[in-house]
Amino acid sequence: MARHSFARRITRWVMGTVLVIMAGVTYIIYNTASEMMEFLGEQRYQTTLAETIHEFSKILMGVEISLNKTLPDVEDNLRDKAMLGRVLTRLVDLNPAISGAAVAFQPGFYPREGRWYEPYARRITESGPDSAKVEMLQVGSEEHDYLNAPWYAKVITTGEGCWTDPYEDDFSDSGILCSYTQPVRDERDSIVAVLIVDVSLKWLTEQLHDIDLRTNEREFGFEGVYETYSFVISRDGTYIVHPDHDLILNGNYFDTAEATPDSTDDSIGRSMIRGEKAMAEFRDSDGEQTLMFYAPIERTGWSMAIVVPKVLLKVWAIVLEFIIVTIMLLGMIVLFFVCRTLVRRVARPLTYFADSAEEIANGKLDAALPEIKSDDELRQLHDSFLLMQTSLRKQMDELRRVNEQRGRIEGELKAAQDIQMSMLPKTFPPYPDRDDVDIYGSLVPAKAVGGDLYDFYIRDEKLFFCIGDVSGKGVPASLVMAVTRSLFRTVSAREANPERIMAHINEAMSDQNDSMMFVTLFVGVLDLPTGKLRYCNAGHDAPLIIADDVTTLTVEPNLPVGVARDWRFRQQETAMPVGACIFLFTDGLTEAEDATHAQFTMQRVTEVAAQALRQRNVKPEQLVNAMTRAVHLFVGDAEQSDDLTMLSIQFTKAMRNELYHNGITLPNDIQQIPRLSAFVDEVCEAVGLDMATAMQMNLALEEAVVNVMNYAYPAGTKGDVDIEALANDIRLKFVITDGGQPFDPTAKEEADTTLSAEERPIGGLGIFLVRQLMDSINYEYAGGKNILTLRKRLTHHDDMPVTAGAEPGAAQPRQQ
Amino acid sequence: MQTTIQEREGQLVALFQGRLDTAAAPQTEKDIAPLADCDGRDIILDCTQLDYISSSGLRLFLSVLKNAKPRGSHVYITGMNTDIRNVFNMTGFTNLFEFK
Repeated sequence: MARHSFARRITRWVMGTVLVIMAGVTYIIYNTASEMMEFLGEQRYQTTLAETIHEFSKILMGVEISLNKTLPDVEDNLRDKAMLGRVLTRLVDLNPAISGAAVAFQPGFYPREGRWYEPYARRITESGPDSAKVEMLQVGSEEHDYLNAPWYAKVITTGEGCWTDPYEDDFSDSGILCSYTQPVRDERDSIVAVLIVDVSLKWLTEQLHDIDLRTNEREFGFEGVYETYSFVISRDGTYIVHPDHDLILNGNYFDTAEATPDSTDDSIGRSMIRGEKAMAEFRDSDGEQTLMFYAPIERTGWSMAIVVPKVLLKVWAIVLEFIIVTIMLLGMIVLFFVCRTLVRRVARPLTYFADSAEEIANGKLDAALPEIKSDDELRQLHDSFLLMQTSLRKQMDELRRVNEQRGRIEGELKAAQDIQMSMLPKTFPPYPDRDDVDIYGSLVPAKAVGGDLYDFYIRDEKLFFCIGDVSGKGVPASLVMAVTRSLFRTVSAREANPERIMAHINEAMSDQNDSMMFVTLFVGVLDLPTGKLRYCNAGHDAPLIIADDVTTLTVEPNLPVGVARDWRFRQQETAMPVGACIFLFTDGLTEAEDATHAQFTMQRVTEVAAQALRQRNVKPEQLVNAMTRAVHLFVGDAEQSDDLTMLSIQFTKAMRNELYHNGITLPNDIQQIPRLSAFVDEVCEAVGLDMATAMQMNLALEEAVVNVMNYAYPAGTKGDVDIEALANDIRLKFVITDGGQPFDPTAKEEADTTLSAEERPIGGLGIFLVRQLMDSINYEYAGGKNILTLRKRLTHHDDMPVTAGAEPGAAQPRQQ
Repeated sequence: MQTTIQEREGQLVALFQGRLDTAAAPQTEKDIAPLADCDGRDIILDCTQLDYISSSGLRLFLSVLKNAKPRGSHVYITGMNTDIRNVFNMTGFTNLFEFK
């Protein structure tokens, strides 16, 4: 519907504007035309008036001339009646304006004729074409007593010729007449008669009637309402010519004028009688504005007037106006249709564009556009639309691509998260078979992937663990975290000394550390048989020790890993009492923020730990969970700002009664092996091992001792090797001690048993066999002595789950 | 520890008797030196009476095999007891040798 109103609105505006302009033009044209018409009308009437008077004057003058020329002939033939008759006849015959001519004699000029004698030549108008047109009469008589007529007296007394007032003649059939008279003188120059010629006013009446007819026809006069008419009045205002024949000679102008309320016409009448020529305006008896043109008719003293209702002068202007308005209305109708069609045609593409835009808005980006053939604004719109479509499509594609990419990145990030989380030990408890250690760890990254890490594993009866925090967050930190964790595993596989582990990691991290990332790291090695904890801190938060009370582990700050390649890390050590718990964490714990950016702080951490201790909830899982709950309660709905990592390790070694103790000291000579064999057999028999296991013990001990003999003591040096055998109710333990140079057999690479004969090295099987045969192997260097401890679970006891004997080495996660 | 080398049906047979531990290994190494000249003849390591073997002994067996293989000789082991076979399994030696 909108498009209709658009077309309508434009049409309405155009039509309205045109109408206003037209009305203005029409008004101006009407005004101008009406003034012009009025002016032209006045001119025309003046002219008509003047022409008519001029014509009439010409006739009168012709009559005067004819009379004056005939006068001598009349005077010459006064005594000859017949001749006089011929002269008069010729006079009438020659001038068509003259209806009759007569000579009125003084009484007694012809004594025989009596008192009155007036020969009269009369034009016969109703006679046939060939008959005489003029007849002679003698009209003087008592009835026709011309002697008393005013004109006769006037001529006789003044002796001058003149025009008479109009009168009705008995002898003439010409109706109203007026006559011109001249005295006729005899040879003695005395006036003996009056020559008189009659002029019928019929012509004048007809002429005026004609004028009235023509003007009324021309001016669209309305009969009886708006009609122009002409009249002539005599010197005293008597109507001589008037459309109303009853008024002629009977009516007087002043009588008529006095009947109207307007007095202007009265003064006009006086002006007319004075013989003035003018145009005047007055209101007629109906109150209509009326114009009167009047002028005197010379010689006669009459005045002629043309009366025109003023409205008739405007008729032509009105007609013109009517024509113009009609044409304009027709034009406007045409304009209306043209305009409407044009606007609709112009608006139609707009409608299509609107439809297209709607389709585009609904996501149909390849919506068809209307075809525009013209090269105008619509073409511009079309091109803009096309550009918009193209650009929208491009942007949508781009958006889709970006979204796909983001999806892929998110997918990859999820995979990275999975990989990262899988790097962390996540099975808890991790060592269900062990009774000497309990561990629980938790890592909640702030983002998909994080820069925190913790790790632990047991190798050779030593728990290697670490916790670290990479500077920064997100993917970059996570990569460094992965590298750090890998380095920790790799380095600690060959190295049980925390400061050297830290030094190796630091070296590797410092090299090519272009991104200047660093890691705060805490590495600990807990010797499970003894509870001795060696640790090295690299700029990390000091962990808590929860034993009899909650204390902070004393740590050297050192430097974070990756900062200075040659930094000499110093390790520390402490003894873990049985039941003590070490609680490690990253600053994500102490710096956890609530909505007001207040931090959780070390104080709260200590409080929570102390409370756990009071409630005897210091088992690693309970401790970590208690801490997690406390942090969540504190943080509330605030967004986690940093990775939150906790690792809790409880040393739970149970001290058992020693049931068996034996020992032997051997010099470093492989020829002493048989003695070792005999000692082992003795021990095995004492603790009740079967033959097969006894042989395994033999083999393991021989390999371990030979290893010591070969490596702790360089060729040629002498030294002793002490072998101690100890047994409690569940385990048999051999402790091999020597005073040779420090040598960690557990750091040796394991033999690859999958190689072919050609590829396999001849040596390297010794420690491998020891690992295979014993449940664990543990090396310590203490008091200037290498101490190698081999353990074997005693399988004949039913009170403990037995797995170690059946599948040697399978009970513990082990570095490959 | 007693080691005897015999030549039987074109094969070299080494008879091991007793404990082949690290202490006995040097002597045994000397005793089996003749096996080095196998020249395509198969070698049989008879372990029927071998009570014990340590990594030193395994090394000797491996060196015999490494020497024999390029010479086109097969090395067979016969008569191993269960304990020794376990050691062979542990070390992957089962995959290297042929057994009769």
